[in-house]
Amino acid sequence: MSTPFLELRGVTRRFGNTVALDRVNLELGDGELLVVLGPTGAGKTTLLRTIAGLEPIEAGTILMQGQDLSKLSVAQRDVALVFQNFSLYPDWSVRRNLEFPLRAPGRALGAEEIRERVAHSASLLGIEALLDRPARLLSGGEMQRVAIGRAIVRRPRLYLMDEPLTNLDAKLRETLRVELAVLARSLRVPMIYVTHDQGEALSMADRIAVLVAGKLQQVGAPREVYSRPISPLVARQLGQPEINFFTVRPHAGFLCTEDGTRLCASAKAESEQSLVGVRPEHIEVRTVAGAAGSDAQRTAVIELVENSGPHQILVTRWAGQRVHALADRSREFHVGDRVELRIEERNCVSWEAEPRAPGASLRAT
Amino acid sequence: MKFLRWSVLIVYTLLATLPLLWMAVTSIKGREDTISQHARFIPTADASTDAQRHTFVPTTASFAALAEVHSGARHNFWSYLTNSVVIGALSTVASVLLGTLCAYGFSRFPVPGAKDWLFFVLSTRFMPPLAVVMPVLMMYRQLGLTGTQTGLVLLYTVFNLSLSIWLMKGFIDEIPRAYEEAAQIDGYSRWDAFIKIIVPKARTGMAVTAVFCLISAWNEYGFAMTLNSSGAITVPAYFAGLQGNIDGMPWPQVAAGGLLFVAPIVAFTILVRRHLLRGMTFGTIKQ
Repeated sequence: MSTPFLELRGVTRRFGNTVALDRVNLELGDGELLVVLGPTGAGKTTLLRTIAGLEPIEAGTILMQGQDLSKLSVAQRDVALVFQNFSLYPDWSVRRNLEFPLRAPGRALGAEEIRERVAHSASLLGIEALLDRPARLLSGGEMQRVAIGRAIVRRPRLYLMDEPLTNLDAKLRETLRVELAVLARSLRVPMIYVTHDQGEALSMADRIAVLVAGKLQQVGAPREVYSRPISPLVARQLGQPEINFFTVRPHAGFLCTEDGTRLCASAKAESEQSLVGVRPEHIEVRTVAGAAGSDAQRTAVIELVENSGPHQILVTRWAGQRVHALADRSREFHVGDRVELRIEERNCVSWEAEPRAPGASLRAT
Repeated sequence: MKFLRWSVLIVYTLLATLPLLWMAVTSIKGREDTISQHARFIPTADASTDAQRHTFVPTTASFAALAEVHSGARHNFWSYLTNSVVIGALSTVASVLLGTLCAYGFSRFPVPGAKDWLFFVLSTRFMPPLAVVMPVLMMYRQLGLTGTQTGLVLLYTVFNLSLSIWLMKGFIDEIPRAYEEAAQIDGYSRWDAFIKIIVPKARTGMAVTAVFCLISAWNEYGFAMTLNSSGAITVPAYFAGLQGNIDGMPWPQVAAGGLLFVAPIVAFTILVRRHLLRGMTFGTIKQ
């Protein structure tokens, strides 16, 4: 990445007293697929709208290929934005919807070229059969395909996708997600894809940008953001079930929780309390052989067993709190069973500065 | 239940159309039939001379007489109808266009004090228009607008603008912003998006607004009467002006002219009826 394709510097946008975007710095490489992940109301849509020019910014600059976008109108920016809803004109045929961007003043394409481009996009998305149908008669999945078609038919400089799959049912979402990821890479046009669905983020992204409460928390490859979240807030955005938090203090060769339970062996010197996160899949679940030989320190009680297809999620009570662990499907667990939980220190993500888990208030932003 | 519904409908229809029917009947009478002591409303070919009869011999003389200049007037009916058409049409077009643009502005842009402005616009409707007849008359005298079509077009446009802005704002508010934003993203300017996306979507609203504006301009009497001596007299003012002329009220002509005067409004309303029905229920039904 020499010069970034798109660069946001200190972009800020307020709505009254709420800050929708707070000094956002972001770079997007040429041909890169960046997924912006965040809870509802994090400012994701506002971010896309400021890049598209539909929303003014109070401070900061947005550069595209080195050019300041602030002086360009929405039309001049030549970016495509796929909305979550309403991206099609219901009374028009699919063909007319697809032709509409090509007929824009300033694009000046011949009838032949328009026909060709529409046909090409339609075949890319498998919607040739729908071309003469009015948009309002399409199913949700078809509509979103056409909406994506309307974006790609133009060959814009940048794609902006605002939760394009959110309103579709789960199965369709998965199919379109794969298609979209493949399409994005074959088009080699950079894309910013906004979602609150961590599954979409992890599966599609070259890089993930986690946005919470208008602040960009962390940007990095999906694996990096998943395994080395820089804050509990970020850790909470990725992972299903959610990461487990423990407030610990190193003591006598162990990381001990507040109630004195030894979480795991540790060579750390005695120090202040800190917060650690442990992913459910990093907690080893052992069946307790018998009363003898089991470590009372490690014994947890199963409160709920959730079957999630490939594995089962064990909701247990341990160290005075609720702990989620993943277990192999082949094993059998029942509510009330006692199990032994084992954690290794290398699997603990530690945040020295934050002795408490992020509260519900942060999650609700 | 069905019986009840039909009887209510029939009674209502009769009540609503009786004046029109009576006017139609009057328009084909001779003048003495309209002022006889006994109501004569049964058309017949038999020319009896009995003063007590309820029959009359139909004639179309009144329609032909519309082309003549009646005593007490300076022009014939058709020239006054032309005034009505020109003034009604121009002021309607102007109110709807200006109202739509203004409503779009209020609907889409952060206008400082938008609520106060809208209330001010509405407040111009609070007082009866005739309360300002004197100031308007003096103002128009100064500007040389009395007795001109321009004067009445301006006046009706301004009076209808408040209605137009409020009605159109309701309609435009209902059109998702995403429609025009998508058009802008696709490479259209805001104005293009307005013309290509908003206007077609707001057509229903514009039709409904046009009906209301046209009816109010078409039927207006007070100002048309006061601001005029000759130049831009509309049909309502013309008929009223015939009162007290030396030949008496030409009732068959008034009825014939009245029929012709109502016809365009009826035709226009039927034309936009589909929009009107949708428009009346607009906003009351949420999908």
